[in-house]
Amino acid sequence: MWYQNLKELQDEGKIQIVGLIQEQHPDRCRLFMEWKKLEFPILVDSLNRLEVTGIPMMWALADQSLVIETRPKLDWIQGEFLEMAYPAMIIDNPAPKESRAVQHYLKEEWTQAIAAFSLEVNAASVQDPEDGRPFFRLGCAYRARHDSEDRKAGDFQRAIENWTRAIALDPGNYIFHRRLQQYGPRLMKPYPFYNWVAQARREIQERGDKVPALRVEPRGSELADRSRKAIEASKDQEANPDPKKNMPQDEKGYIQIDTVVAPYPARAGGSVAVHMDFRPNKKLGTTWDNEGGPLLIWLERGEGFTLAKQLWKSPLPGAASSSEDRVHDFEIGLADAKIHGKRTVKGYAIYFVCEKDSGLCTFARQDFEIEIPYLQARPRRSKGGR
Amino acid sequence: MNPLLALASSFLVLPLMAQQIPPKKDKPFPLLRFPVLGGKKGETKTLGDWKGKNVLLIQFASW
Repeated sequence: MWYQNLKELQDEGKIQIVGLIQEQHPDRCRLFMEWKKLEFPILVDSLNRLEVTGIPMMWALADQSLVIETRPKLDWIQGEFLEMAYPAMIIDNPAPKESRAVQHYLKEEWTQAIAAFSLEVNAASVQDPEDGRPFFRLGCAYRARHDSEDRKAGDFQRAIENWTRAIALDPGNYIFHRRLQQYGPRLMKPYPFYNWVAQARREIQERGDKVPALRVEPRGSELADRSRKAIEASKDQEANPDPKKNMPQDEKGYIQIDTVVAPYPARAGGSVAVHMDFRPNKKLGTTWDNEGGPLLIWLERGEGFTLAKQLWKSPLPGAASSSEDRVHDFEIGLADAKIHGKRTVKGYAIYFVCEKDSGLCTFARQDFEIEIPYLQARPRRSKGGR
Repeated sequence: MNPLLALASSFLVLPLMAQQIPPKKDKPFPLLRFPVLGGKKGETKTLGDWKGKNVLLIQFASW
Protein backbone atom coordinates (compact mmCIF):
# COMPACT_ATOMS: atom_id res chain seq x y z
CA MET A 1 0.00 0.00 0.00
CA TRP A 2 2.80 2.42 0.92
CA TYR A 3 4.38 1.69 -2.42
CA GLN A 4 1.20 2.44 -4.39
CA ASN A 5 0.95 5.82 -2.69
CA LEU A 6 4.57 6.65 -3.41
CA LYS A 7 4.39 5.31 -6.96
CA GLU A 8 1.56 7.70 -7.74
CA LEU A 9 3.78 10.58 -6.64
CA GLN A 10 6.63 9.20 -8.71
CA ASP A 11 4.41 8.78 -11.79
CA GLU A 12 3.36 12.41 -11.39
CA GLY A 13 7.04 13.43 -11.36
CA LYS A 14 6.89 14.77 -7.81
CA ILE A 15 9.45 12.41 -6.28
CA GLN A 16 11.98 9.86 -7.40
CA ILE A 17 12.10 6.59 -5.47
CA VAL A 18 15.53 4.97 -5.32
CA GLY A 19 16.16 1.67 -3.58
CA LEU A 20 19.25 0.65 -1.64
CA ILE A 21 20.25 -2.91 -0.77
CA GLN A 22 23.18 -4.53 1.01
CA GLU A 23 22.71 -8.07 -0.33
CA GLN A 24 25.56 -10.34 -1.39
CA HIS A 25 23.47 -11.68 -4.30
CA PRO A 26 21.68 -8.56 -5.61
CA ASP A 27 19.93 -10.30 -8.50
CA ARG A 28 17.68 -12.04 -5.96
CA CYS A 29 16.31 -8.59 -5.21
CA ARG A 30 15.62 -8.22 -8.94
CA LEU A 31 13.44 -11.33 -8.76
CA PHE A 32 11.74 -9.92 -5.66
CA MET A 33 11.06 -6.60 -7.45
CA GLU A 34 9.57 -8.39 -10.46
CA TRP A 35 7.40 -10.51 -8.15
CA LYS A 36 6.11 -7.52 -6.21
CA LYS A 37 5.98 -5.30 -9.33
CA LEU A 38 8.21 -2.66 -7.77
CA GLU A 39 9.49 -0.18 -10.32
CA PHE A 40 12.38 2.00 -9.24
CA PRO A 41 16.16 1.87 -9.61
CA ILE A 42 18.19 0.01 -6.99
CA LEU A 43 21.68 0.95 -5.80
CA VAL A 44 23.70 -2.03 -4.57
CA ASP A 45 25.85 -1.54 -1.48
CA SER A 46 26.96 -5.11 -0.76
CA LEU A 47 30.01 -3.83 1.15
CA ASN A 48 27.78 -1.66 3.37
CA ARG A 49 29.92 1.40 2.67
CA LEU A 50 27.02 3.51 3.97
CA GLU A 51 27.39 1.68 7.29
CA VAL A 52 23.69 1.29 7.90
CA THR A 53 22.92 -0.56 11.09
CA GLY A 54 19.37 -1.72 10.52
CA ILE A 55 16.63 -2.42 7.98
CA PRO A 56 14.50 -0.80 6.68
CA MET A 57 15.74 2.76 6.48
CA MET A 58 14.45 5.69 4.49
CA TRP A 59 15.90 9.09 3.72
CA ALA A 60 14.12 12.06 2.13
CA LEU A 61 16.63 14.04 0.11
CA ALA A 62 16.24 17.50 -1.33
CA ASP A 63 17.72 17.92 -4.77
CA GLN A 64 19.55 14.57 -4.51
CA SER A 65 21.92 15.52 -1.78
CA LEU A 66 20.71 17.10 1.45
CA VAL A 67 19.05 14.76 3.94
CA ILE A 68 15.83 16.52 4.98
CA GLU A 69 14.30 13.70 6.98
CA THR A 70 15.06 10.16 8.03
CA ARG A 71 12.33 7.53 8.37
CA PRO A 72 9.70 9.99 7.07
CA LYS A 73 6.02 9.14 7.53
CA LEU A 74 3.74 8.89 4.51
CA ASP A 75 1.67 11.95 5.42
CA TRP A 76 4.87 14.00 5.75
CA ILE A 77 5.99 12.83 2.30
CA GLN A 78 2.59 13.58 0.76
CA GLY A 79 2.43 16.95 2.50
CA GLU A 80 5.42 18.89 3.69
CA PHE A 81 7.99 17.16 1.49
CA LEU A 82 6.09 17.95 -1.70
CA GLU A 83 5.20 21.48 -0.67
CA MET A 84 8.75 22.49 0.06
CA ALA A 85 10.33 24.50 -2.68
CA TYR A 86 13.96 23.67 -3.16
CA PRO A 87 15.81 26.28 -5.12
CA ALA A 88 18.97 25.21 -6.84
CA MET A 89 20.99 24.88 -3.71
CA ILE A 90 24.72 24.94 -3.94
CA ILE A 91 25.91 22.33 -1.51
CA ASP A 92 29.51 21.50 -1.01
CA ASN A 93 29.25 17.77 -1.44
CA PRO A 94 32.17 16.40 -3.40
CA ALA A 95 32.20 12.73 -4.34
CA PRO A 96 34.27 10.86 -1.74
CA LYS A 97 37.52 9.31 -2.90
CA GLU A 98 37.15 5.56 -2.93
CA SER A 99 39.85 3.17 -1.81
CA ARG A 100 41.67 1.07 -4.38
CA ALA A 101 39.94 -2.01 -2.96
CA VAL A 102 36.47 -0.52 -3.49
CA GLN A 103 37.38 0.60 -7.00
CA HIS A 104 38.41 -2.95 -7.92
CA TYR A 105 35.24 -4.34 -6.30
CA LEU A 106 33.02 -1.98 -8.29
CA LYS A 107 34.74 -3.12 -11.50
CA GLU A 108 34.16 -6.75 -10.44
CA GLU A 109 37.93 -7.33 -10.40
CA TRP A 110 37.63 -9.78 -7.54
CA THR A 111 41.23 -10.99 -7.25
CA GLN A 112 42.57 -7.43 -7.15
CA ALA A 113 39.83 -6.45 -4.71
CA ILE A 114 40.80 -9.35 -2.41
CA ALA A 115 44.45 -8.28 -2.52
CA ALA A 116 43.59 -4.66 -1.77
CA PHE A 117 41.07 -5.47 0.99
CA SER A 118 43.68 -7.80 2.55
CA LEU A 119 46.01 -4.81 2.80
CA GLU A 120 43.20 -2.83 4.47
CA VAL A 121 42.72 -5.68 6.96
CA ASN A 122 46.45 -5.65 7.75
CA ALA A 123 46.47 -1.87 8.15
CA ALA A 124 43.38 -1.94 10.37
CA SER A 125 44.91 -4.58 12.63
CA VAL A 126 47.58 -2.02 13.48
CA GLN A 127 45.64 1.26 13.31
CA ASP A 128 42.23 0.17 14.58
CA PRO A 129 42.18 -3.45 15.77
CA GLU A 130 38.52 -3.16 16.82
CA ASP A 131 37.30 -2.27 13.31
CA GLY A 132 35.25 -5.10 11.75
CA ARG A 133 34.55 -3.33 8.46
CA PRO A 134 37.68 -4.39 6.54
CA PHE A 135 37.05 -8.02 7.47
CA PHE A 136 33.42 -7.81 6.35
CA ARG A 137 34.40 -6.29 3.00
CA LEU A 138 37.20 -8.80 2.43
CA GLY A 139 34.63 -11.54 3.07
CA CYS A 140 32.31 -10.01 0.46
CA ALA A 141 35.11 -9.99 -2.10
CA TYR A 142 36.00 -13.63 -1.43
CA ARG A 143 32.38 -14.70 -1.79
CA ALA A 144 32.01 -12.65 -4.98
CA ARG A 145 35.02 -14.41 -6.49
CA HIS A 146 33.62 -17.75 -5.34
CA ASP A 147 30.53 -17.01 -7.47
CA SER A 148 32.58 -15.94 -10.49
CA GLU A 149 34.52 -17.78 -13.17
CA ASP A 150 37.73 -16.85 -11.31
CA ARG A 151 36.66 -18.95 -8.29
CA LYS A 152 39.47 -20.49 -6.28
CA ALA A 153 39.21 -23.36 -3.79
CA GLY A 154 38.76 -21.96 -0.29
CA ASP A 155 37.16 -18.64 -1.35
CA PHE A 156 33.84 -19.33 0.34
CA GLN A 157 35.49 -20.56 3.54
CA ARG A 158 37.64 -17.41 3.67
CA ALA A 159 34.49 -15.32 3.22
CA ILE A 160 32.89 -17.06 6.21
CA GLU A 161 36.08 -16.69 8.24
CA ASN A 162 36.26 -12.95 7.60
CA TRP A 163 32.55 -12.38 8.29
CA THR A 164 32.87 -14.35 11.54
CA ARG A 165 35.81 -12.12 12.49
CA ALA A 166 33.88 -8.95 11.58
CA ILE A 167 31.05 -9.96 13.93
CA ALA A 168 33.48 -10.82 16.71
CA LEU A 169 34.80 -7.26 16.46
CA ASP A 170 31.44 -5.58 15.96
CA PRO A 171 28.77 -7.85 17.48
CA GLY A 172 26.04 -5.21 17.21
CA ASN A 173 26.24 -4.84 13.44
CA TYR A 174 22.98 -6.08 11.93
CA ILE A 175 24.27 -6.26 8.36
CA PHE A 176 27.31 -8.32 9.39
CA HIS A 177 25.06 -10.74 11.27
CA ARG A 178 22.63 -11.17 8.40
CA ARG A 179 25.44 -12.04 5.99
CA LEU A 180 26.73 -14.86 8.19
CA GLN A 181 23.25 -16.02 9.19
CA GLN A 182 22.45 -16.43 5.50
CA TYR A 183 24.96 -19.28 5.19
CA GLY A 184 24.98 -20.39 8.82
CA PRO A 185 23.10 -23.08 10.78
CA ARG A 186 19.40 -22.93 11.71
CA LEU A 187 20.30 -22.21 15.30
CA MET A 188 21.63 -18.80 14.16
CA LYS A 189 18.74 -17.88 11.89
CA PRO A 190 15.96 -15.42 12.64
CA TYR A 191 13.83 -16.84 9.75
CA PRO A 192 14.32 -18.52 6.35
CA PHE A 193 15.95 -15.95 4.07
CA TYR A 194 15.06 -17.05 0.57
CA ASN A 195 12.13 -19.46 0.89
CA TRP A 196 10.03 -16.93 -1.07
CA VAL A 197 11.97 -17.60 -4.29
CA ALA A 198 9.96 -20.63 -5.40
CA GLN A 199 6.63 -18.86 -4.80
CA ALA A 200 7.87 -15.74 -6.62
CA ARG A 201 8.92 -17.75 -9.68
CA ARG A 202 5.61 -19.62 -9.75
CA GLU A 203 3.47 -16.49 -9.48
CA ILE A 204 5.49 -14.54 -12.07
CA GLN A 205 5.18 -17.47 -14.45
CA GLU A 206 1.44 -17.80 -13.81
CA ARG A 207 0.82 -14.20 -14.81
CA GLY A 208 2.83 -14.73 -18.01
CA ASP A 209 5.80 -12.53 -17.15
CA LYS A 210 9.46 -13.37 -17.61
CA VAL A 211 11.16 -14.76 -14.51
CA PRO A 212 14.53 -13.04 -13.93
CA ALA A 213 17.38 -15.55 -13.81
CA LEU A 214 19.49 -15.92 -10.70
CA ARG A 215 23.25 -16.07 -11.01
CA VAL A 216 23.54 -18.06 -7.77
CA GLU A 217 20.69 -20.33 -6.76
CA PRO A 218 19.80 -20.16 -3.05
CA ARG A 219 20.60 -23.44 -1.36
CA GLY A 220 20.58 -25.36 1.91
CA SER A 221 21.00 -22.97 4.77
CA GLU A 222 19.71 -20.02 2.71
CA LEU A 223 16.33 -21.75 2.48
CA ALA A 224 16.29 -23.42 5.89
CA ASP A 225 13.93 -22.24 8.59
CA ARG A 226 15.09 -21.23 12.04
CA SER A 227 15.36 -23.75 14.82
CA ARG A 228 16.11 -23.34 18.48
CA LYS A 229 16.58 -27.07 19.09
CA ALA A 230 19.97 -28.69 19.34
CA ILE A 231 20.69 -31.29 16.67
CA GLU A 232 19.59 -34.78 17.68
CA ALA A 233 21.05 -37.98 16.33
CA SER A 234 18.60 -40.09 14.35
CA LYS A 235 17.60 -43.32 16.08
CA ASP A 236 17.35 -45.13 12.74
CA GLN A 237 20.14 -47.56 12.08
CA GLU A 238 21.86 -46.50 8.89
CA ALA A 239 23.92 -48.91 6.82
CA ASN A 240 27.50 -47.93 6.05
CA PRO A 241 27.75 -48.42 2.27
CA ASP A 242 31.46 -49.32 2.30
CA PRO A 243 32.54 -50.36 5.80
CA LYS A 244 35.55 -52.39 4.65
CA LYS A 245 36.81 -49.87 2.12
CA ASN A 246 36.26 -52.20 -0.81
CA MET A 247 35.55 -49.37 -3.23
CA PRO A 248 38.60 -48.16 -5.21
CA GLN A 249 39.97 -44.85 -3.98
CA ASP A 250 39.62 -41.91 -6.34
CA GLU A 251 43.36 -41.57 -6.91
CA LYS A 252 42.99 -39.61 -10.14
CA GLY A 253 40.89 -36.91 -8.55
CA TYR A 254 37.80 -37.36 -10.70
CA ILE A 255 35.84 -35.27 -8.23
CA GLN A 256 37.13 -32.25 -6.31
CA ILE A 257 35.54 -31.66 -2.92
CA ASP A 258 35.37 -28.15 -1.46
CA THR A 259 34.06 -28.06 2.11
CA VAL A 260 32.92 -24.92 3.94
CA VAL A 261 32.00 -24.60 7.61
CA ALA A 262 29.92 -21.68 8.94
CA PRO A 263 30.55 -19.97 11.27
CA TYR A 264 34.33 -20.29 11.36
CA PRO A 265 35.38 -20.65 14.10
CA ALA A 266 32.22 -22.15 15.57
CA ARG A 267 31.06 -21.92 19.16
CA ALA A 268 31.07 -24.99 21.43
CA GLY A 269 27.52 -25.82 22.45
CA GLY A 270 26.20 -24.49 19.13
CA SER A 271 26.09 -25.90 15.63
CA VAL A 272 27.65 -25.32 12.23
CA ALA A 273 26.34 -25.42 8.69
CA VAL A 274 28.52 -27.52 6.39
CA HIS A 275 28.46 -26.84 2.65
CA MET A 276 30.09 -29.46 0.45
CA ASP A 277 30.67 -28.91 -3.26
CA PHE A 278 31.48 -31.93 -5.43
CA ARG A 279 32.96 -30.71 -8.70
CA PRO A 280 33.78 -32.96 -11.67
CA ASN A 281 37.42 -32.49 -12.74
CA LYS A 282 37.27 -30.53 -15.99
CA LYS A 283 40.84 -31.45 -16.95
CA LEU A 284 39.90 -35.13 -16.90
CA GLY A 285 36.54 -34.46 -18.53
CA THR A 286 34.78 -36.21 -15.65
CA THR A 287 31.04 -36.76 -15.93
CA TRP A 288 28.55 -38.26 -13.50
CA ASP A 289 27.12 -41.54 -14.77
CA ASN A 290 23.69 -41.23 -13.21
CA GLU A 291 22.65 -44.76 -14.09
CA GLY A 292 25.23 -45.94 -11.55
CA GLY A 293 23.19 -44.45 -8.70
CA PRO A 294 23.36 -41.31 -6.58
CA LEU A 295 26.37 -39.67 -4.97
CA LEU A 296 26.60 -41.12 -1.44
CA ILE A 297 28.06 -39.27 1.52
CA TRP A 298 28.83 -41.11 4.74
CA LEU A 299 29.86 -39.39 7.98
CA GLU A 300 31.44 -41.17 10.98
CA ARG A 301 30.04 -40.43 14.40
CA GLY A 302 32.55 -39.26 16.97
CA GLU A 303 33.06 -37.65 20.34
CA GLY A 304 32.10 -34.03 20.88
CA PHE A 305 29.72 -33.59 17.95
CA THR A 306 26.28 -34.77 16.85
CA LEU A 307 25.12 -35.82 13.39
CA ALA A 308 21.41 -35.90 12.61
CA LYS A 309 22.16 -38.47 9.92
CA GLN A 310 25.18 -40.41 8.75
CA LEU A 311 24.17 -41.33 5.20
CA TRP A 312 23.15 -38.75 2.60
CA LYS A 313 22.13 -39.34 -0.99
CA SER A 314 22.39 -36.57 -3.54
CA PRO A 315 19.30 -36.32 -5.79
CA LEU A 316 19.81 -37.60 -9.33
CA PRO A 317 19.15 -35.44 -12.38
CA GLY A 318 16.99 -36.85 -15.18
CA ALA A 319 19.83 -37.19 -17.72
CA ALA A 320 21.85 -40.42 -17.91
CA SER A 321 25.07 -38.42 -17.86
CA SER A 322 25.82 -34.92 -16.53
CA SER A 323 28.72 -32.78 -15.37
CA GLU A 324 27.18 -30.27 -12.94
CA ASP A 325 28.63 -29.30 -9.56
CA ARG A 326 26.72 -31.14 -6.84
CA VAL A 327 26.16 -29.33 -3.59
CA HIS A 328 25.23 -30.85 -0.31
CA ASP A 329 24.44 -28.96 2.90
CA PHE A 330 23.90 -30.31 6.40
CA GLU A 331 24.48 -29.30 10.01
CA ILE A 332 26.62 -30.63 12.83
CA GLY A 333 25.93 -29.99 16.53
CA LEU A 334 28.88 -29.29 18.82
CA ALA A 335 29.10 -30.37 22.45
CA ASP A 336 29.83 -27.89 25.21
CA ALA A 337 33.51 -27.27 25.88
CA LYS A 338 35.24 -25.03 28.40
CA ILE A 339 38.27 -24.34 26.25
CA HIS A 340 38.88 -23.57 22.59
CA GLY A 341 39.54 -26.57 20.39
CA LYS A 342 38.87 -28.37 17.14
CA ARG A 343 36.61 -31.23 16.12
CA THR A 344 37.33 -33.39 13.11
CA VAL A 345 34.48 -35.19 11.38
CA LYS A 346 35.61 -38.01 9.12
CA GLY A 347 33.66 -39.30 6.18
CA TYR A 348 33.77 -40.40 2.59
CA ALA A 349 31.88 -40.03 -0.67
CA ILE A 350 31.10 -42.73 -3.24
CA TYR A 351 30.22 -41.92 -6.82
CA PHE A 352 30.05 -43.47 -10.26
CA VAL A 353 31.84 -41.35 -12.84
CA CYS A 354 33.24 -41.55 -16.37
CA GLU A 355 36.51 -40.22 -17.76
CA LYS A 356 36.27 -38.54 -21.15
CA ASP A 357 39.54 -39.60 -22.84
CA SER A 358 39.62 -43.26 -21.87
CA GLY A 359 35.86 -43.71 -21.76
CA LEU A 360 36.39 -45.54 -18.45
CA CYS A 361 33.43 -45.52 -16.08
CA THR A 362 34.05 -46.54 -12.49
CA PHE A 363 32.88 -46.40 -8.91
CA ALA A 364 35.25 -44.39 -6.77
CA ARG A 365 35.55 -43.50 -3.11
CA GLN A 366 37.07 -40.33 -1.67
CA ASP A 367 37.76 -39.97 2.04
CA PHE A 368 37.57 -36.50 3.59
CA GLU A 369 37.86 -34.75 6.92
CA ILE A 370 35.83 -31.74 8.02
CA GLU A 371 37.74 -29.63 10.51
CA ILE A 372 35.66 -27.47 12.84
CA PRO A 373 37.64 -25.09 15.03
CA TYR A 374 35.53 -23.80 17.92
CA LEU A 375 35.63 -21.29 20.72
CA GLN A 376 34.66 -22.25 24.26
CA ALA A 377 30.95 -22.33 25.07
CA ARG A 378 29.30 -19.09 26.15
CA PRO A 379 28.74 -18.95 29.90
CA ARG A 380 25.19 -19.97 30.81
CA ARG A 381 22.92 -17.49 32.51
CA SER A 382 22.11 -18.61 36.03
CA LYS A 383 18.43 -19.33 36.70
CA GLY A 384 16.68 -17.55 39.53
CA GLY A 385 19.51 -15.11 40.10
CA ARG A 386 19.16 -11.39 40.32
CA MET B 1 10.04 24.22 7.71
CA ASN B 2 13.41 22.92 8.64
CA PRO B 3 15.49 25.98 9.69
CA LEU B 4 18.40 24.82 7.60
CA LEU B 5 16.21 24.70 4.53
CA ALA B 6 14.77 28.09 5.29
CA LEU B 7 18.29 29.42 5.34
CA ALA B 8 19.06 27.63 2.10
CA SER B 9 16.00 29.08 0.44
CA SER B 10 17.03 32.58 1.49
CA PHE B 11 20.61 32.52 0.38
CA LEU B 12 20.55 29.73 -2.19
CA VAL B 13 23.88 28.62 -0.80
CA LEU B 14 24.49 26.26 2.04
CA PRO B 15 27.59 26.61 4.11
CA LEU B 16 30.16 23.87 3.95
CA MET B 17 28.70 20.79 5.51
CA ALA B 18 30.67 17.63 5.83
CA GLN B 19 28.84 14.56 4.61
CA GLN B 20 28.60 11.78 7.13
CA ILE B 21 28.59 8.02 7.03
CA PRO B 22 26.13 6.70 8.01
CA PRO B 23 23.98 9.45 6.49
CA LYS B 24 22.55 11.95 8.97
CA LYS B 25 19.67 14.40 8.91
CA ASP B 26 20.60 17.93 7.78
CA LYS B 27 23.84 16.67 6.22
CA PRO B 28 24.62 16.04 2.55
CA PHE B 29 24.15 12.42 1.58
CA PRO B 30 27.51 10.88 0.62
CA LEU B 31 27.76 10.68 -3.16
CA LEU B 32 29.32 7.22 -3.20
CA ARG B 33 29.22 5.29 -6.46
CA PHE B 34 27.14 2.12 -6.42
CA PRO B 35 26.39 -0.56 -9.01
CA VAL B 36 22.81 -0.40 -10.25
CA LEU B 37 20.72 -3.55 -10.10
CA GLY B 38 20.44 -4.94 -13.62
CA GLY B 39 23.10 -2.54 -14.92
CA LYS B 40 26.12 -3.40 -17.03
CA LYS B 41 29.31 -4.75 -15.49
CA GLY B 42 31.24 -1.93 -13.83
CA GLU B 43 28.44 0.61 -14.33
CA THR B 44 27.82 2.75 -11.26
CA LYS B 45 25.62 5.66 -10.21
CA THR B 46 25.45 8.12 -7.35
CA LEU B 47 22.41 9.92 -6.03
CA GLY B 48 23.72 12.84 -8.06
CA ASP B 49 22.31 11.09 -11.12
CA TRP B 50 18.84 12.18 -9.97
CA LYS B 51 19.85 15.80 -9.58
CA GLY B 52 16.95 18.23 -9.54
CA LYS B 53 14.49 15.75 -8.04
CA ASN B 54 13.34 15.13 -4.53
CA VAL B 55 14.55 11.65 -3.84
CA LEU B 56 13.10 9.13 -1.45
CA LEU B 57 15.87 6.63 -0.79
CA ILE B 58 14.46 3.38 0.57
CA GLN B 59 16.76 0.76 2.02
CA PHE B 60 15.36 -2.75 2.25
CA ALA B 61 16.30 -6.39 1.62
CA SER B 62 14.67 -9.27 -0.20
CA TRP B 63 15.58 -11.56 2.72
